[in-house]
Amino acid sequence: MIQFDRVAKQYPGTGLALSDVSFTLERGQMAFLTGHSGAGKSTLLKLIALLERPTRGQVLFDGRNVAKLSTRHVPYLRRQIGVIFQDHRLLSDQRVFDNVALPLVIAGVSYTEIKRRVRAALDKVGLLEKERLYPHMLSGGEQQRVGIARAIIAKPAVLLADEPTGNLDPELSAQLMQFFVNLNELGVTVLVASHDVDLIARLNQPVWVLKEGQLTHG
Amino acid sequence: MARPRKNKRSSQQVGRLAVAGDGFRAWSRHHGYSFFSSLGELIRRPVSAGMTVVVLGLALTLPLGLFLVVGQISQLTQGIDRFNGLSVFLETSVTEDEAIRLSSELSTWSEILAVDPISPAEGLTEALGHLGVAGTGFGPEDNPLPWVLEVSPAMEANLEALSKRLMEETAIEQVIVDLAWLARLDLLIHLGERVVYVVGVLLMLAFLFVIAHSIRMEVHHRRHQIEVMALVGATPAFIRRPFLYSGFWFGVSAAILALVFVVLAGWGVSAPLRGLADSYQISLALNAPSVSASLGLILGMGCLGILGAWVAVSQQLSGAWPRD
Repeated sequence: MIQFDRVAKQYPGTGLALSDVSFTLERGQMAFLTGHSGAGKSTLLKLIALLERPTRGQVLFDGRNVAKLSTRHVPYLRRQIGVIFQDHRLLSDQRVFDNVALPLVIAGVSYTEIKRRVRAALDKVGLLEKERLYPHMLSGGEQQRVGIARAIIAKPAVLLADEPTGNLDPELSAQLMQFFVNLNELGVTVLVASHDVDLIARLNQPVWVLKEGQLTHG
Repeated sequence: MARPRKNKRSSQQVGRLAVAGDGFRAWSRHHGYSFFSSLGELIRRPVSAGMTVVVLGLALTLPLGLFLVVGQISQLTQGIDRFNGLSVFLETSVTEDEAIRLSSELSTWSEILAVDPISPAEGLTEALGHLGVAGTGFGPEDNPLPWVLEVSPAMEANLEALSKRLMEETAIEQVIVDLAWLARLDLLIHLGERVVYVVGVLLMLAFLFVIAHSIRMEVHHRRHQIEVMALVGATPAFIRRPFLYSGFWFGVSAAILALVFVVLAGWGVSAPLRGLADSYQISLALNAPSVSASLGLILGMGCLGILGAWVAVSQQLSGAWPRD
């Protein structure tokens, strides 16, 4: 599903964020990506979602070289990927309902269908009764769950999460990671970047370690 | 957090949604979304949107008002009975018989269409009538006026050559080509129309740039929102569309406001204008533009708004997609 072949990424004026990264994440597989902060975890995820383009090497998504994807096709690639950010990236002036509905609105789904599926997704993350609130009225953990609902609402083939447990307590973190495992069991390809090594170790999934811009399989 | 149901789905099913809403229905839903979200944005910030609309409305009112005034004046001059010909004054010694004979002779000339002889008596009555001193007791024997022939030239006739040829007749004392003042008035109106167009074009440009600027500010204001939308798979067209609608709303509401301003201005000047018009025994009023012209204006300004928004958005959106 996702294949990195000797990928390097350099930001202008800085050293290499990734120097030589190769891996294959099969369709329906799950993996954790770990490493200390600044090791390039976020960069790796951004390369998959085409938020950045690689400096060297190839990133293949579903067999296609994303570097060769024209800007016109980028949105359609992104619709196949759900991304969860540490800082949530919610729209502050829109209600929880509208935030979660955004991918469906973009895909042109009918309003009745949107209503049904947003309710279902909010129910899944336990926020159904908060659909009319604005993000700033929610706790950090609740905002994170809104972000998760938005990431899974369009049933993406791939789910990427960047430090999703960043500011959650241990119990909520464990619940969240288990949620990702369950999603993976439904057929979603999942890649989670996290520095919470202890938690990851308990989940019995492949762990990849990023160190000095290179990937080692743990 | 509730656990998702555990029935294993085929991986092909996942991600099917990307194409689920394609086609015309998705397109119309997108437009519906843009329509309402752009209106919502304007309503959410009524003061700044209102101020922009007022500035735009005022910028439109000036050329629109001028256009109506010039149009009114040019219509008025078309109503003036134009004697599009030559006034031929005969020697005072010429008698009625001679005048009639000359007039029928002239009417045989190829460059002359018709000749209308005016006797001294008729001329006097007409002149006194114009001066507003009719019936002051001038008798025929006091009449200083000569016979006058009003000559209508044929369409293709050269007026200068014709007036020269007429002057060669011994009985003719003077030929007056009585068109100069009307021609000058026409030129003035023409100039006025040009000024309206120039002012109009300049203010249209101002209109375009005010809209572009407002939309630019709006894009800037919603930078974060745009990034998030791009992140979850919005196409540039989808992101651009609500801003184009905003431009359209700005244009349309400014045009409506300008029409209201013009009608109010028309009321404001109607009383003194009517006084002036009455003194010349003409009808003159600053009429509101017709319904079709108003609709044209509203639609045209809406399109101009879209254009302004397009310019602003296209230039601002490039940042939401990957840098190479």
